[in-house]
Amino acid sequence: MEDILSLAVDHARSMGASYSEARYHRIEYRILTLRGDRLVSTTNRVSEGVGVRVIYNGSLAFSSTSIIDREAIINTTSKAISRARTTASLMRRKITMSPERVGRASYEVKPRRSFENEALGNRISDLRELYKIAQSSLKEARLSSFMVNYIESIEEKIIINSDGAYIRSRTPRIEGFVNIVLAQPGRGSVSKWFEAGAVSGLELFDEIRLREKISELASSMENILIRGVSPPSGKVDVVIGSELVGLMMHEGVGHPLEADRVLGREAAQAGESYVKPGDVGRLRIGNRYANVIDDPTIPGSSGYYLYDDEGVPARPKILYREGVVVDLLHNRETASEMGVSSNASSRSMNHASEPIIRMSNTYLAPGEMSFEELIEDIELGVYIKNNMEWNIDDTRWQHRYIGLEALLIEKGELTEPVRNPVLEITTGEFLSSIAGADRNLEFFPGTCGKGEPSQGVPVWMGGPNVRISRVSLGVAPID
Amino acid sequence: MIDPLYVGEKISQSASRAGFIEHAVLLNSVERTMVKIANSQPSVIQSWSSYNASIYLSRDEKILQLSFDTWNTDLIAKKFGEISQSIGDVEKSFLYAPLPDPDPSARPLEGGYDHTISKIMEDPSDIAESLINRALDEGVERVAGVIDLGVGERCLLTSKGFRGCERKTFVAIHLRSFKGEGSGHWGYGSRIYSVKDAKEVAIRSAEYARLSTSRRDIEPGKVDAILSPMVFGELWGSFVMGFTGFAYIVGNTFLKDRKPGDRIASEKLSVADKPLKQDLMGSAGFDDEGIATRNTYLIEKGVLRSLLHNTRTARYLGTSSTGNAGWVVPRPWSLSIEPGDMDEEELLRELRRGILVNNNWYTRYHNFVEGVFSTVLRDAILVVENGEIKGAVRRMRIADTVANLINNIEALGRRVYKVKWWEISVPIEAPFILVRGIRTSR
Repeated sequence: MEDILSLAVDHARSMGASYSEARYHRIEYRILTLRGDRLVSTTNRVSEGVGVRVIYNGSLAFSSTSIIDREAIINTTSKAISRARTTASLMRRKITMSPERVGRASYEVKPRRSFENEALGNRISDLRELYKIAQSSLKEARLSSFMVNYIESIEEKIIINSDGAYIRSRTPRIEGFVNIVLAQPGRGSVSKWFEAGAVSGLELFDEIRLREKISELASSMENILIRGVSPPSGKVDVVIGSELVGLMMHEGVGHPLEADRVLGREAAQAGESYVKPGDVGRLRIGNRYANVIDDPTIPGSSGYYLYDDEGVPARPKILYREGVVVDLLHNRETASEMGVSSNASSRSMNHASEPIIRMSNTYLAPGEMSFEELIEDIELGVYIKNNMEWNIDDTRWQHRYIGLEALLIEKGELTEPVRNPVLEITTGEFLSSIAGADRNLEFFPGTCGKGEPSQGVPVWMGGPNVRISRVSLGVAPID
Repeated sequence: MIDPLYVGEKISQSASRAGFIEHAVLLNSVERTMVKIANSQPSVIQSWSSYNASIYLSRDEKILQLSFDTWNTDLIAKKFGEISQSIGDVEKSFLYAPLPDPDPSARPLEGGYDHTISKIMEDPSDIAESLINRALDEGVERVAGVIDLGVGERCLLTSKGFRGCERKTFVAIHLRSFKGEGSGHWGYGSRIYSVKDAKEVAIRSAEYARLSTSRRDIEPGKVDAILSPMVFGELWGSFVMGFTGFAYIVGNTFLKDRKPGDRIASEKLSVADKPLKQDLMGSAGFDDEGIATRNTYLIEKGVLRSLLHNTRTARYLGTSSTGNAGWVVPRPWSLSIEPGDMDEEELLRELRRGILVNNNWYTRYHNFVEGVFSTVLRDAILVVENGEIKGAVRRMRIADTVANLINNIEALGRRVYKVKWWEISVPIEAPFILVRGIRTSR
């Protein structure tokens, strides 16, 4: 395979490319879909091929093929050059890559319980049991819908480029989705997508206490459905749970600090940013608690990698330090344009996807309080543990979340469940009104979408429980 | 050139040898080129040669699906062998139904192939340059977007004897123009390239950018609004998933307690799945089981007419396939919202006071069963007073329910647009639509 990739890189150079890169990328998935405790289908999927990227006369082109032989690779590379040639005359600003010390390395994540060594029937039995657990956790409400999607995969990559990079990697991964819908006459319904995921083998089933979590979630949803009250009116203190904090950091900090967005490359898709190129090191919109990091090197994380898809060594990136924008997420193209070095944020979904700037594992740094200390002096407030609906505008400023698991805080104690509290807040209001954070740093998996054609890549999002002061909550519309 | 039916026959023989007597093989090949534009110049030109083999296997009422980004028949045969070894671990599917016998009326749909598209793919720079310049000539400061072109072939073989192939082309162009604080976005998608429609993308995106340069905040609440075809196009990408037989069976749809014949929307609203309309991007003559496709009303004059079915969901619910397989989850081909009788100026006058929304994105559901959702409005959100456009609004969401939105439709434009962009997942043609009393938030 290395020979074929080198052939692409050398062929592009011989045709006049100033930069060339070839990536073999294979992902093999197994997907199980269950409704309740019954299997609907199993799906096997193999995505395999080579993606080639070139810069020719300042014009960037990407081309891919799923036929892996010398002829197909030469044709794919020639096509990339020929396409780049057609658009070169339209380039008012030529594209270049920042000079970097790229890696030559091979790494593999070895699971303790590999997929191929255990019978598929055991996984199906484990997943079927979740339905019974959810059902037995309910006393009054009806479990009206229960769906499970389980995805295990192994991702293999070999990356070679004209600057000498050689990176080989192998990564096992699990992603699981459980949709629970509960209904009760006169009270309507509540719905939640529960998600679990990590770079891991089957040991993940043991480590994340999946059965307990599904049981706790079903009970909690029942409590909300039957006994949930409206959120208090007027401004109250709100404690936001790690899951929601992580999502807010992903949406409101990670995305707007992607340098390609800041420079306008995603303007017609996911949009632009409230951060402008000159804001780095200057823009302060948060307080001392606003410390946000993106770190691809966390072992076992969904966004784990040691070298990015341009061969640059991975490292943690500090996005916000005490409320100030410290660093953007860069690949070699944006680093070159902004006169800095890449911080290894380039990733692609599969062989047919160009590498673009992506988050990995983005989180708000934890504080030093306990959860009890965080809420002890709140006279009246709401704890929003997690959410369902969410969205944000395309500059990543105005957020909206509807809480799912939520509880009233009265005189420093968690009391009644709260139904459908709506939190609408700007990134600036959130980061500048953090009044405290506890020390419980927790991560949650997600699939981050970006690029055209759209690329979904696995990430983690995380943070501690966070208290924000004096916020008005709305309530979701129900007909 | 690789003959897809030859590849399909080899895969079919391998499936039978591995003990999967009942099977279907779907082969898709696509040559595709995409120019991505940012800051008024190409940011990347991408091209793909892709070969996908999707395979449905069944044995003892168990359902297995496979997908390969390759037509390597040796690799696929090897995988059949591996799966055959582990099939004892898999249980019967409650959704199993036998594959249907070949449908004599199922045949390739003519008219969805445009020879000019493959020529443009060789060098799309002229179109890129002319569209960028057209938008800039309209007075905007910069433009971003995508020109996406493709030529593809789709072939199906089933163990019941169906054999069919259809060749199609597609073009999808969308541009977002910027001027000061203002922005406008427009897109179109079709099987057939149209110079006029491509130009209109540049002109409309620029026009909305110019109209929205002066923005102000307004207090959220209930508003009357004209939603552009871009907005309904984005919303129906998720609404339509509630109309599939699969969503109905698993109980995860806002139609859960409804049945055909129930009134679910304004009588002004008729929505159909139209695979037989050749120029719509999803047009097709047969579905993934070899059943002839047909145009199917989802809603006709406000009344729920049909869900979308494959053989499996149809059998489970005691009805017939609508030609929308998807082997497990039925899929829409191309949606069509029927036009009304007003031109766009008349719609503005009918609205009198409210907003006209150019575009939206990021639709998310709090609860799909209750249809509670919000979506973020973007680009031009124009203020309408006395039937005329008077400035623009800065930030706004629709935060409402599906039922409220489709019940409060009062009027529709007489022209339909084939819209497509990054956020529109299902090809659609739709008019401008006037809806009263939409709930909004910041």
